[in-house]
Amino acid sequence: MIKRDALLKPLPLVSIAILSIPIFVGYLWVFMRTFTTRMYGMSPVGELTLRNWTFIVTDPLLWHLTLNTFVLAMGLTVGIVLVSCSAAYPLSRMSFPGRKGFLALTLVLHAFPSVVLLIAIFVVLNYLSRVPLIGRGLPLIGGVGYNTLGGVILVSIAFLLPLGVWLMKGFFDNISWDLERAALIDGCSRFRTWRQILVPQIRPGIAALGIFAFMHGWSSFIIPYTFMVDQQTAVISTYLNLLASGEQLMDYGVVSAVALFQLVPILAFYVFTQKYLLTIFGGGMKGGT
Amino acid sequence: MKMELVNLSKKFGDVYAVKNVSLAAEDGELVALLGPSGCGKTTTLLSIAGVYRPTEGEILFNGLCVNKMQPKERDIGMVFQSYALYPHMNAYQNIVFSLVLRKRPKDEMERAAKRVSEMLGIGHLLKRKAAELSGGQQQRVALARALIKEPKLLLFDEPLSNLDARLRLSMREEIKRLQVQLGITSIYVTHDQVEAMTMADRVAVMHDGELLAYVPPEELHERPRTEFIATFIGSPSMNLADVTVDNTGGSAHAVLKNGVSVKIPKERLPRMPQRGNAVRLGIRPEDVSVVAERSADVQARVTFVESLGRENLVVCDVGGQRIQCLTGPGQKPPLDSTVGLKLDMSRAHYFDPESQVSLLWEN
Ligand SMILES: Nc1ncnc2c1ncn2[C@@H]1O[C@H](COP(=O)(O)OP(=O)(O)O)[C@@H](O)[C@H]1O
Ligand SMILES: [Mg+2]
Repeated sequence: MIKRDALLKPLPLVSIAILSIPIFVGYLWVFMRTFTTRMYGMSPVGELTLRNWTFIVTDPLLWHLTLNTFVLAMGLTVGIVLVSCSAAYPLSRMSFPGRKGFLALTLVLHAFPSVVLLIAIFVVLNYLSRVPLIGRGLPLIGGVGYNTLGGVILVSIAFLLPLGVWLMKGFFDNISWDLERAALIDGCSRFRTWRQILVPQIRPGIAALGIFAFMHGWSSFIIPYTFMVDQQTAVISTYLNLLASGEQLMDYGVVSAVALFQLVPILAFYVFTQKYLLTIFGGGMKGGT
Repeated sequence: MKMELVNLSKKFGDVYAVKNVSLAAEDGELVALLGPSGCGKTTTLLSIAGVYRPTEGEILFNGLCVNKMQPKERDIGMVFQSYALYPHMNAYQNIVFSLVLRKRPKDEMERAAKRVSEMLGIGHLLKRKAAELSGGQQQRVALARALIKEPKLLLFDEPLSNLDARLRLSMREEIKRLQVQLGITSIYVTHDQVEAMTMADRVAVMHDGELLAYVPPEELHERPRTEFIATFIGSPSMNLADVTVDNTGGSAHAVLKNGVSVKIPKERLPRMPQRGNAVRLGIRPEDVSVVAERSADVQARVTFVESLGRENLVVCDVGGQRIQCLTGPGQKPPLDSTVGLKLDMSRAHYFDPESQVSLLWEN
């Protein structure tokens, strides 16, 4: 019996390793391709070169795109954390008409394929563009209308909100009522209790949601692709798409290098924050309606 | 400060959690709210604190209705069962938090914190976070947090039930000592009758949201007004037996189902119920003794013996009627043996079998 257990234990690891091989091979290919002029199957047959990577110093556009991508990811992160935390509190703690229905609705929306909504959202963003001041012409994000970074951030936040709200509600549900009552008796207002007593308790949840949102925003494609027409000046993922589908012959070396370039920050980010990210799955999801 | 509840009710949805409770705590008094779990003690306490808004009735502080006041305007301190310390703050920050909210100057805060923490012997713990404190220490910090406001009313919600037995005993003493020393009117919620009986000046017994009795502890034990109180107070609980009272021929007797009769002393003769002469006799296990058969009131068969340490609990069967008694050390009759029981009828209680109210004590 003991022997069989010892044999079974590494089984999950082994199966994950086997299933990951195709993905791993793919990344390996991309990695090698960036340092050579030609590949034959998995072997670099061309000469070794750094030419594919020269864009890092020669191409100012890419750095502009990186900034855009960063702004999108950060905007999504800050937005989702702020809105989720404030919305989850009343949903967890107060009883008001429509609360249950609202929770159910957000869950349904989360399950809804977002692609279906793209055209409707286009109409909304287009309308927003015509609103003076906020529609266009804001610094950094450009505005919140169609073909602006802000518009893309707005839509991304909306799509991620159901997840964020439910997640944060789970964290709020786990805080004891007595803590809130103690604060109330000590003289806190409801808002201050939320900000000074409760939010500090759900910091791990905020970190997890924030990291998740950042990675989501960094690598998102379909929303920036749809709502930012000038894809040259959009974000890295749309630029990659442009490179891979342009009229000129596709240069696999450059595409691979740009793809890796996009991947590096997210990998580094993941290594430093995976501890927090895991709390989403451990403990955060507890608590009902 | 005098605290009064006038016909206080609290409904959750359609259910009454607290129903028509009226009581008054005099200035400096410690009142215990005693009752089984779920009977509405916490709800009552939170209504007094202002966390819950009463459905009906009034809460008066020194005669002034405070129903509409915010908790922070009520001058109260509260100690929770779970301690409810703010986990991200250290003990000092926890204690002075209410003063921070009132924007008191720093040196005043420090002086006040020093005063209460010395009073509670936690001066050396002030830098620690809640998680780095033991249960007893957390409870002291929670108490300090409640006391620093110099409240007019202290509310305790089962403050000791998360502590181990020995610590509970010493904290009980300490809370009582502090309360008397500071003279703060206190409401103390507990489901532990020993706690209520030893600490309180008056005990309010609650059951299903209703107030059953509000009397000093001795009276609760010695003069229970209803059968529920009689059996709820005291451990092991009071024996109950259906008897008929035979009041013919000069002296009164209680006649058990099996025909055995026991003499009732004149000064302990119950009123008769509205109909008939059937009553329920109640007698505490400590008032029943195992004696030699010739001086016994009744013969009984021993069905169970349990050692409680200092005493033994002997469970007997008297013609189908179960009677428990406490015997001294060393007096441990064997199972299934026949023993004689002497009932101290000068300490017996009688209840109306229908209304279950006492036939000895006025309501
Ligand atoms: N916030 C609430 N919402 C609905 N029902 C509640 C709430 N608080 C308490 N109750 C109900 O009211 C009754 C009394 O509860 P409680 O006052 O906590 O009892 P105790 O403190 O004596 O154990 C219980 O039946 C409980 O389920
Ligand atoms: Mg309770």
